[in-house]
Amino acid sequence: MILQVRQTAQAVFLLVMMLVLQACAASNPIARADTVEQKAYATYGTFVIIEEQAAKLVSSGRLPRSAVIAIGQADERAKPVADSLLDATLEFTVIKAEYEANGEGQDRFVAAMNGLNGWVSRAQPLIANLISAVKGAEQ
Amino acid sequence: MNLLQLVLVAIRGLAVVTNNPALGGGSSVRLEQASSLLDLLGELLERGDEAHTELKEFADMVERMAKEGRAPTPAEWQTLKDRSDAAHSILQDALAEAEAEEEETVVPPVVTPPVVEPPVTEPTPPVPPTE
Repeated sequence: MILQVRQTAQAVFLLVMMLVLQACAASNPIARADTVEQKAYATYGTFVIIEEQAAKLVSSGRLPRSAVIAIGQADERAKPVADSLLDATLEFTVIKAEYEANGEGQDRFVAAMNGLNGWVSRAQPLIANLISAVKGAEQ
Repeated sequence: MNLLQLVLVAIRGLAVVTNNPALGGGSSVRLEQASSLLDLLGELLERGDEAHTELKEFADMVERMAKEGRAPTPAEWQTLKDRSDAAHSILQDALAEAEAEEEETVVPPVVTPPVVEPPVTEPTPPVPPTE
């Protein structure tokens, strides 16, 4: 009897874990994007939402000084990379439009796409650091 | 009932089972670990704070964008950029203020005056008696 309950609990656990992962993906904008431009936009947008949450927390005046410094420093590191991601996207958009218009400059187009992917990859851990600083301050 | 609520109900139900030795929970190391993991995940999902809601709405928007197969417009980018600049300005002001306060409260190191040693005077040799 106990064994059956345990096996059922484990099966339910697996099912719940699948549902939880699905629910987490549901609130992950980056997981919903298809193209590199959409991924860049989702990454930048996630950064902005967390940055705004951080600004609200800091403005509330209820955080210890150490938390304000940790959040500020995490933002200080992430912001230039996020802005470079934005610049790379704008550059990519122009190159893509030129490539699609006349079919020339494939190498340039591929290089711009790789560059944009690189900025997305660079930005993500810095955004994760900012999220950690905000979560740490909230607790 | 949305997916998150469904997951929460399932998590609470499972947490009862895994925490109760009479139901086969609590006695297995793996189930005990699962219980604390579920508690954490449940807590994470239950918070449902503003950022989480906003993130979910933004994720829905990105999904719509992906379904339509379109790229974000310059206006959409500019909106995000303006919001980021505003938040960044608040955070950097707060950081500068906090760091300045931190510097003010740092106790300056105690400076001990240099020890001045008295000049060493060589012992004078004994004066021989005069005849």
